Amino acid sequence: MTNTMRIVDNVEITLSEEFLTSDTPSDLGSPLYNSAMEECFGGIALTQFDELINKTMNSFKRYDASMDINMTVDLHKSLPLTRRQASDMRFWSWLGVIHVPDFVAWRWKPAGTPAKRSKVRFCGTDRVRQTFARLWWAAELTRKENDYTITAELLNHPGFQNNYEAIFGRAFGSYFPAMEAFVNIIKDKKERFIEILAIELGYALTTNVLESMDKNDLLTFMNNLAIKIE
Amino acid sequence: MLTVRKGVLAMPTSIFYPYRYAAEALEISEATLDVDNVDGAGNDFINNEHHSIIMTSYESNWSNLKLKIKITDPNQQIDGTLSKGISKNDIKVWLVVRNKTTRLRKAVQLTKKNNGWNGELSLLRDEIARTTDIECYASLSRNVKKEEGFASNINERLADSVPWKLYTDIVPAMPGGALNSEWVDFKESTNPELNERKDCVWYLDLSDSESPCLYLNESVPKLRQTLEVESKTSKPARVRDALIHSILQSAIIEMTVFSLSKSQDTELDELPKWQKKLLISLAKKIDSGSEEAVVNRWRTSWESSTETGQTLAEVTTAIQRHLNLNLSSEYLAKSVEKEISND
Repeated sequence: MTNTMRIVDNVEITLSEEFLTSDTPSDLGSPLYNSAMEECFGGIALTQFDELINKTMNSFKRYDASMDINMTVDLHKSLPLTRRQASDMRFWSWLGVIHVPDFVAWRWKPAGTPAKRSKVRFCGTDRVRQTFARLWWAAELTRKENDYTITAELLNHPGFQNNYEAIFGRAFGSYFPAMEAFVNIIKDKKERFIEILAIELGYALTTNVLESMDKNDLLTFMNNLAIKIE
Repeated sequence: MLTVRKGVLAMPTSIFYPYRYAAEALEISEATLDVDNVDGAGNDFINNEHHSIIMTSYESNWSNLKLKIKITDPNQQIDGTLSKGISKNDIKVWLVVRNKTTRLRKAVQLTKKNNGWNGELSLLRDEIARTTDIECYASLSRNVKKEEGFASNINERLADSVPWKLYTDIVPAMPGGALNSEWVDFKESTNPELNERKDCVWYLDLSDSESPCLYLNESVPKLRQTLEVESKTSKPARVRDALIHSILQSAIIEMTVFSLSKSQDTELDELPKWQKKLLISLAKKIDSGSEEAVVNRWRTSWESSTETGQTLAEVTTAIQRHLNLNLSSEYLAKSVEKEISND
């Protein structure tokens, strides 16, 4: 049984070209010494997480982006972290680089010339792009305790994949009543509309006190904005 | 009249309000901090002068904080933002906390009492990390009749306070984490090296051969806030990067010269790890032979005092490349393009 670990401070993670291009990077051996890792968060068991990874790799074809939708809620449940813990990118880096790099390679198709996977999908400070952090945070920011209704609605929207960064990269993406209202407004809308609404919302809310607004305030606000966009 | 927020360093974001706005009109006149339900246990960490609460040196096992505050509008500036017929009864005042690391955003409405507004807000350790922003806002509590130059929509901001920072974790302030850094109030420090430099921004301590430490002067107003801006691309982020680079350029030169001054009798591999890493990483930025050959050439030149000018020129070139100075300068220039063209 594996427990939660993280890469220790001040360790520079260098991933070779071979690591970034391989379909099974774990075959290349660990890019870090054991001393560069430490147990964290009191050692949360990863049994459920590992089962989910195996199940997903057995159920989805390589590079099939729809695996994100299928696994997000379960991934969040399998990693019972506080937000403070989840903000520690050293943990996500350990998951991507050491624990299950083959899954990262399974999920992301190498791109560019020469074709390789982006390092940030394995590790780094960017939780909007790291393979597991992005899904965990998407669920965390859209759940209401154990209710993942908003998460599911957002994940199943056809425009979700391409608008992930447009939504969660903005302030309103961190405020649950805003996400509730946003999901309500975009229900029947097309991908392009979501992108424009997210951008315009980001601007429009800067003169308001977002945190003082409840779901109804935000629904009214977003409806007015949506009418202008349309 | 159009009131705009001014001052890049003073404000974390530039927001242009299309109506009268009272920037920094609200003042946190009283603040107390309870830790784990012990009244005032965190009061000593409140620094009114620097608008900060520095909990980094507090024992690390606390689990909750309660901030109690009183807000005032000492110069009655909110009055100037209200259109005809609107009074202070039509506004609400909020205490807002935001943590970019944990993406926490929450607010409590403050209660009007005597000459100000009072209230309290609780924070769990599990929901915050690193730096938490604390700010107060006044906003309209209802839609009011539109009047040119005045806010009229419910929830629109009318005024704010100077932003405060709550520091709960020590964070590496410098990119790459290669250089240890520590925030110290040079004015208050008992370390004579720091106290003698209370008018300076930083001091590099090279006395520990295994690990240099860059001390940053917490008594310089707004310095910490500016250097710990977390955004990647905003204007404050560009200012932060420029400031970090201005510090690092000199600090790295100092470290390099210190490392080159070691006698050639000491093999490169025998130098402390940080010195070897520094010299090699700088040498990588010079296209004239292998890194080790470049470092050896620099060391020879330094020891024999020949061509030290050329060596220094190569070192400063390498530092500029190492810090991507051209790129950050371009981004900084672009971020203030509008201000420059209007000047």
